[in-house]
Amino acid sequence: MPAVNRSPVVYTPSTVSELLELRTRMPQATIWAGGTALMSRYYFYPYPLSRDIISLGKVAELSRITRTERYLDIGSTATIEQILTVGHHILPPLLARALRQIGPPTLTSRATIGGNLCIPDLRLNLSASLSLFQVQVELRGGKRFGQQSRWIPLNRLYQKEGGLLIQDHEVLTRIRITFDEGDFQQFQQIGFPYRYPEEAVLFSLFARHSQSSVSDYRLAFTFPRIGIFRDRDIESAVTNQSLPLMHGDIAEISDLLRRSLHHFSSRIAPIQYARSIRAFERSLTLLNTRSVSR
Amino acid sequence: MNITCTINGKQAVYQVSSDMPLLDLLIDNAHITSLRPGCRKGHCGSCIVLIDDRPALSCLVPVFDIRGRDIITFERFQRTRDSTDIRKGFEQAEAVPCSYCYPSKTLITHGIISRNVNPEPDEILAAFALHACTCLEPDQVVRGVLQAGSYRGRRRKYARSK
Amino acid sequence: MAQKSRYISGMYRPNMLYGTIIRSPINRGRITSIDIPPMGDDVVVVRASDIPGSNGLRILKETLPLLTGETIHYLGQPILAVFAPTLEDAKVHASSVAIQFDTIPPDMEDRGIFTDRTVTHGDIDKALMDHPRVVERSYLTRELESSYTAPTGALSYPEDDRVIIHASTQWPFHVRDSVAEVCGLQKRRISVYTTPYSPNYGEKLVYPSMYACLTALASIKSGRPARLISRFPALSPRITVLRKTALDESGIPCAEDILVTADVGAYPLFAEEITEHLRCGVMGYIPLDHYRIRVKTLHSPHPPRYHFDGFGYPSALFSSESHISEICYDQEVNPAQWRLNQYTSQQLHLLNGASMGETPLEEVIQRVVKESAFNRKFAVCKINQVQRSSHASFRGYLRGIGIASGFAPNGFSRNYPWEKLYSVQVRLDENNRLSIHTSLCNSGASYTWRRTSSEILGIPEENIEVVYGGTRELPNSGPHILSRDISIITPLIRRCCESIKSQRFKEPLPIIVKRGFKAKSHEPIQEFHRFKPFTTACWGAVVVELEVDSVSFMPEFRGIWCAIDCGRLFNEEVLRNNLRTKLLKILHLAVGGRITPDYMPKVEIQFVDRGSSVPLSGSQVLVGLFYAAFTSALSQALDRSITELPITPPDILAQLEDL
Repeated sequence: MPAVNRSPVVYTPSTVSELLELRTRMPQATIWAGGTALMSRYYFYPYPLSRDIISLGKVAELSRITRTERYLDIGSTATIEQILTVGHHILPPLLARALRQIGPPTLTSRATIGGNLCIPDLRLNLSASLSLFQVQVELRGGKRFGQQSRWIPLNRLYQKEGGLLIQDHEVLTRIRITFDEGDFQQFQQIGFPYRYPEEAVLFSLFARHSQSSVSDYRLAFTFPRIGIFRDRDIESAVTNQSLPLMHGDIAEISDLLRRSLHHFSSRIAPIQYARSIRAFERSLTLLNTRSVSR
Repeated sequence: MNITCTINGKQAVYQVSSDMPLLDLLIDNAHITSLRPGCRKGHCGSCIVLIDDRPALSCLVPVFDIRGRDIITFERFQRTRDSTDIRKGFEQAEAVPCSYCYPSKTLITHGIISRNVNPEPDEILAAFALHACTCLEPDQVVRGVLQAGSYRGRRRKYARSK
Repeated sequence: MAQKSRYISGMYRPNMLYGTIIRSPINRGRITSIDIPPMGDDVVVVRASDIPGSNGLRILKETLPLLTGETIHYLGQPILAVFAPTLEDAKVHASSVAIQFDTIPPDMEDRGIFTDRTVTHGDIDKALMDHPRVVERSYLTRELESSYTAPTGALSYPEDDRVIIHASTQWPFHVRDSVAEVCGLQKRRISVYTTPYSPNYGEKLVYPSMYACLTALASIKSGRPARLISRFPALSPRITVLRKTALDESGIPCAEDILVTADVGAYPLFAEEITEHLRCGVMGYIPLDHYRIRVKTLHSPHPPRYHFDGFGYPSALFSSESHISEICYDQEVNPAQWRLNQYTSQQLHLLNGASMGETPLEEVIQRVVKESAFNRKFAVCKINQVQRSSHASFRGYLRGIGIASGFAPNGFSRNYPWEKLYSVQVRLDENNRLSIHTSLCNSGASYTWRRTSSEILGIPEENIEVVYGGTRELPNSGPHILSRDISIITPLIRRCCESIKSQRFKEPLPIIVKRGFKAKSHEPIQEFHRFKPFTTACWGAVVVELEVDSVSFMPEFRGIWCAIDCGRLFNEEVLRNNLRTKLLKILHLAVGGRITPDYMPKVEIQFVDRGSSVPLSGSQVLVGLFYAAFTSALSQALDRSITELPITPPDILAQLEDL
């Protein structure tokens, strides 16, 4: 092996405590879950500045999935395939669809939920979709920092502009999803978030409605390179609306979304902007159809 | 880093960088000839191997993760009865993949019918969704996989009855 | 035969060195210094100064530098190659080489013209002035990048006093000749074997020769086998066609001014042939008294361009057929009906008056029109288009249907002087076994050749073999491009077999017959009027129906209907499958890669059988016609002129102004 090429040292902790100790000792090391996102970067190998690796593959606790009556507790290294298998009958349609659209089994058998949530510069299918439910994530820090565990709502994992808010000594260990019953759920991947992130939009919608009104409405857009957009004003504007929505109502709420997206980020490309508006309008039209057909 | 693993039934030790993709190790160090290094980003699905009997994209697997694991490539797999089921299935369905993607399509098919010999068409198409080679139409792929599953099912049944 | 099925990435020799190329990170500049640190005995660095022969690959009249001496002419130009016992070592050593450059400022870039040919007939300027109705459009095919294909590379090793080369090349004799010139070796000491290169876009025509030269140099220097595989992006030329067409009172073209420019990168490869193909492709099927066709190939600081599916012909055909549809839309005429009205004549003529003889053009149009229910759908889309204008476009259907028809040549033009150097050989031995010898043995056309030979000589197909071998054993049959394997080599094999048939039972066995291409006598190019530049033509028609998704702005294909005259059909199903695969590849290119690999619209392909004895390849005509029918359908769906390819969702959005 040439002297100039340093093979990264791979640490394989088998318990969370070992992991946290390593994390505290080497905050710059790469945390390696499934590695699918890391390895698909063109500069990945051979990369002269490769950092040491802390592989999570042997920490059994992190790949566990526990189900109670109230929630689903998913270890951060549970693979997408594992979640789809275990959660086959209980996953809300929105989540099931978001998980399935990540890729074929050759990919989902390696890609992990933690990896999907923690790619530093790219927000993918799960972040916004999970944020529509009551989702808490557990972050654990090393001994030096009191080995504390803290549970935070998923949306507090990210900055407004999409960046990760995990501290250097912390590791994402668990994701706890409390299910809500929603009778109108949609997940739509518009474009190719991995190949053309500047064009893609991921649309996640959760709603409860009766024949004549909307009682709960939650909506999020993911712009892969920018971040997650969620606006309570828009959600309130739809909630408690009478169904079917009139053409004027749709136009008015749509205008609200346009303004809100403009305020959210100047980096949204025209195609992402147009796709978001149209996906939103189409979903309202579909909601109308659903209410009429009840 | 020393990587000890079993490739096509033979245990071997390789001294390579720990973050090297398995694809590179198989081609450059183990001299496996059936692999097609396509996009190297997990987009084209041309570099499939079996890791512990499950299909995986070898460009997305780092070598440190294969320590102690069993890697089977098409070279070895094509000599098995499992492979014969798939070859016969695709031939029967008049849907033979091209020489470029034959190894990958065979191993993906093995991954599907190992779990379920009578999979749903959606399940089949989802498994092939990443595969960039368009030499077969989706319904040809579905027919081929179902036929292969049928051969596999019959063979298993026969083996059990004995 | 075992080697034949092995891709270059799967080829290995004991003690082999793996190579990587250090390429220029700048467009234009000068190398001021190269600092190579000590690398150990088992690492071989190949520099321009190591080349014993010529530092360049000769491609017909042009020379492409192998390694940069001093001046950099394009981004990605090879500077040196590093070979080491593992690829990882080679890449790491390559990253330790320090190269200093002086960048040449952009205003010093020379953007010259390689070729500039104009043919004029009549008084085009006056004709354009005299006719008040002139349709003017510019058609652009941007650089298209080939997607994941079998890797391009070469493996060389010394054996006795020879150098053996395996390369994923479409032109094995070019590899041999290049290695001989670069390494200063005699040609007879080099043997080149082709490895599979399918599926390809024509990107393995020249670069394998470059990689073969580098591996041969490394192999000679080290005495060890050397392999190099490169994934340098393969881009096609950027081609712009500007057309000004004067229409007479009945809306029929009567004069046309056409300007074609093709950016072929830093070095022209086949510039003369490109000119010829482009010039032929822009000619429509209405003879004109006044026309001017000017074709320019331009220089730019980009890598030499590949030629997907022919030397620019599909882009030129796209412009011709899209332009006809644009003329029809301007006059609010059904483009299928317009074509049928104009092309009813049994004797079809090109723009320059050259007779195409009896063609199946009318029949192929009729077929696709009927199968696709074109007239009904066109009317519906038209009504929808009119009604849509008063509403937000997403509430109406953005649906359209387009048609294109025409021909594409197979093989080189009549002006290509090297074709007569190429040949095939057929041998009938004492055991009544027939062997076909051609350097295109890896082309995939062997089924057709065996069937043809079997029919002529009555020998069972299992007794006919297409011999796989190297350049020492096989005759030079030229490059595998422009579907030459089907439409040029098959007739040569036929001629060999017919000759064997006449000698059989009269002459002692074995009988060996060799045949080469004889160019038919033709009018000199100076007399362009009535000149037909190609000997073979494959005719077809394509209809594309699509709808633009109102959320994603992606074209969703509702159906693609094709009718093609592929000459003699040996295996209809295989051919249909090949053409469908081709269609999906170009569909991928046409939408800038914005479809998933498993996207598969409804495709119907019909063949027209006119009792021809010679097979033709439909892939080139399919490409050009698909592009034209696709953009025409999109133009109708969006109610805008779509004249550029590829077209992506942001482009479609830019065309819609309702947001």
